[in-house]
Amino acid sequence: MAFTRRQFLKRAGVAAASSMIAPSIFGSPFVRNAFADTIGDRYLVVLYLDGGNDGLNTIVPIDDPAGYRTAYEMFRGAGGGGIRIEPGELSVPSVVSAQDPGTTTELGFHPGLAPLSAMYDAGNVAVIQGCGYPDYNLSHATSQMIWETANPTGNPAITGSGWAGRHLALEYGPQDIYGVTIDNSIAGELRTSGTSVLAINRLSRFGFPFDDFDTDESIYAEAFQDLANQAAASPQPLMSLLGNAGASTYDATQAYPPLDDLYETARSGFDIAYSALGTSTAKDLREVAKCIFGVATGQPNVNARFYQVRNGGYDTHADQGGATGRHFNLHDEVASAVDLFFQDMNDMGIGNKVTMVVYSEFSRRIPQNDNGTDHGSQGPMFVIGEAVNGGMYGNHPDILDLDGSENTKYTQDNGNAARSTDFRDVFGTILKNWVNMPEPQILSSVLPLDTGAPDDFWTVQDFDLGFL
Amino acid sequence: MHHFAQRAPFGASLVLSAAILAGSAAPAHAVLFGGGGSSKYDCLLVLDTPVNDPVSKPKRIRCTDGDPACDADGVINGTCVFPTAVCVNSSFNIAQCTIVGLDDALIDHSLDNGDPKFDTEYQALQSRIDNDLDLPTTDVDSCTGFTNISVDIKGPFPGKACRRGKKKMKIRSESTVMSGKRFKDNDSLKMFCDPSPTMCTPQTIFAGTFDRMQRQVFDVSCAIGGCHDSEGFAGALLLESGTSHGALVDVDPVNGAAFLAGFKRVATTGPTSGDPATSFLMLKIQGDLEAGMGERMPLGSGKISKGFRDIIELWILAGAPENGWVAGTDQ
Repeated sequence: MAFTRRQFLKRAGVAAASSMIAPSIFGSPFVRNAFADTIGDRYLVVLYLDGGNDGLNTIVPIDDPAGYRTAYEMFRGAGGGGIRIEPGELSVPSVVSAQDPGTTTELGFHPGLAPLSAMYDAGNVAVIQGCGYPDYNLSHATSQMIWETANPTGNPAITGSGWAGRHLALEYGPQDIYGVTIDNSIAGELRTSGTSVLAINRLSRFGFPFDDFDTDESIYAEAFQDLANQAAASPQPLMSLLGNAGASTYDATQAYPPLDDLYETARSGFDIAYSALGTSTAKDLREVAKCIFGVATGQPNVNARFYQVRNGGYDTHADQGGATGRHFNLHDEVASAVDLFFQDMNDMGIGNKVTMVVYSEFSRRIPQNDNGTDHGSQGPMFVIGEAVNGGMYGNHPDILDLDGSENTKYTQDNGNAARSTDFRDVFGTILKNWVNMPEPQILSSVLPLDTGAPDDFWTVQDFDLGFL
Repeated sequence: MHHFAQRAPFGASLVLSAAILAGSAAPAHAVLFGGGGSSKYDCLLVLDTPVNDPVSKPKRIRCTDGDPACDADGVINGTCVFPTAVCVNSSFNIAQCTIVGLDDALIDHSLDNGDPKFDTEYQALQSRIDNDLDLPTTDVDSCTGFTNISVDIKGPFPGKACRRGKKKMKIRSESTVMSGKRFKDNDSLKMFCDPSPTMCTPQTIFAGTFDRMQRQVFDVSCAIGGCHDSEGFAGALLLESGTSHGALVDVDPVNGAAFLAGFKRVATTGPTSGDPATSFLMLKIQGDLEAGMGERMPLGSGKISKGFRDIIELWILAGAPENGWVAGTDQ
């Protein structure tokens, strides 16, 4: 063979597919086309802040109707090593109210989020405060998996698949590609063995493998397709999985790489603007924009509606900074890139067709350390887009009550506030009001309620939080 | 043939402005140095520290605690602080090293994944590499912002004088593929902190007994990666600075046998108040454990020294205060 497995993975990205879980009925194109997909002509982008973003320095209390500013200044020092942000340094919305719904505390955005604060003022950003889950876990890997799978209590019925992946498996066939991760491996929330998901780092480095000595790829491509199709038709589930993965990956290597040139030619102004920002988040979101442009302009076999992008560096144990410094750099990188991305979408005429949800696996502890913060509990999520009903949702964490008593595993004073919102209600609201899934189906197949659980578990859903 | 790109002249002004941005009290001027490895590839990643002593051996930084010329915190507190940045595809030694194209760089012990030697400051510098530089990059003389790296002196230990503390940071770098090959540049930086010759007593270094316990026992032996830190949360016990007092005092142990025996981690109320013999913290570090009470701590390493065990015992007997000095614990 002209290519090795390693070359294939390196050059072609990774796709996973299977008929193991999806009912075989969905394998038939005829039957599949009879179901109109629920998301329709809309898109969902998930942006993951990897490492545990400090929520208290992201959305900051300014005044004291509930005593939050005084408490904030007690927990977050000023001067050398202090990470306090003064009211005058915050980016404060002036058009849309940024009051905490529960306490009327005035809130401001971290100065690095100034572009996001401006989008908030335009009514296009919902901040959902206090998002978390029962018995919060402070390990990066474990908590990330909990958010990705939306399975804090280890419900065996949904183990191993991502929340968005479970939706994809219901809607699409084994060789369809409706989910794309901008990374080297498939994001946890998109993981499924029911349909295909693509992982692309850069479209410019994506393609069917070739070697340096033979320019005629067609015989290899034909051989590969034959192998994949034979395997896909196998009655053995594992063989079928491999075949579907191979076939869908091959199709993607033909359909997706041309989007790179297409976008750079048709949208050169934005292409240059992402380059000017120069950050990994800007470049990752540009790859999403290229794919969405491909779908929106009807390029053959380009259908992806669900995207995942990740930015790392939020584990600010040390060297966090306050109004300036490393946390500022992170916020500035993301807010500037998101702002440009939505300008791009608006310019394409689909600003009201794209919604982005931003989350982190946990927040940071309320009291600071020497010059940073340790892993904490709840934190704010953002939902962004023209279709969003902007404003503050959920409650600011009650930082005057840090005993963590809602968490059965954390009965000691560990410097953490209780959540006000279960993150599954945020995802559920998106699935119901943006993806248009029926609520009973969300509960039965994507986000099952916690069962046999104590009072603080998630036993009643609220999929109408109001931001969509 | 290796692919070598044309270089821009050395951007000295960039480095100087970065040093000013760090905002620390001391730094005189930047000193770029290769950090070791083959001189042909040493410029893939170079280190930038404002203080090198002696300049002829830039891979070694030495400072006396509190010396405003080199300790960025400028105070005698048992810790020397060295602002540190990295630059990539450097032109610092253009005569010998012209390679351009850094694919990846990883600082040892910078990942919060349960590594017992996990270092939060190495992680911070690693994040600056990941976020500021957006690897892989062919940008020439591209630098991160500065992160403070702290080096503690050794001691003062009970009954013993202070000694020099040291720390070694290693960074492994790899080039992009050039004609089918990757080139490596492994760098290291040795940092030394000498105690102040005039003032190095527990009273000058620590705020009180519990602060001393935190910095000399918990931070060093307990709240380490994968153990009693946020990531590990072993035995549902956090011993990190800021949470340890609340996690110990008048809290039930989660160990069933210890709980049934009526022990607290440390009691300041009730029948076992101020009693080291029923403190699960004390018993765990002494190793006086009955069946079902688990292993002596710290797990898999030597016993906490007698001097510190005595300090912890005196602290429990005195009612486990969070602030102030307990008599006999400041030697």
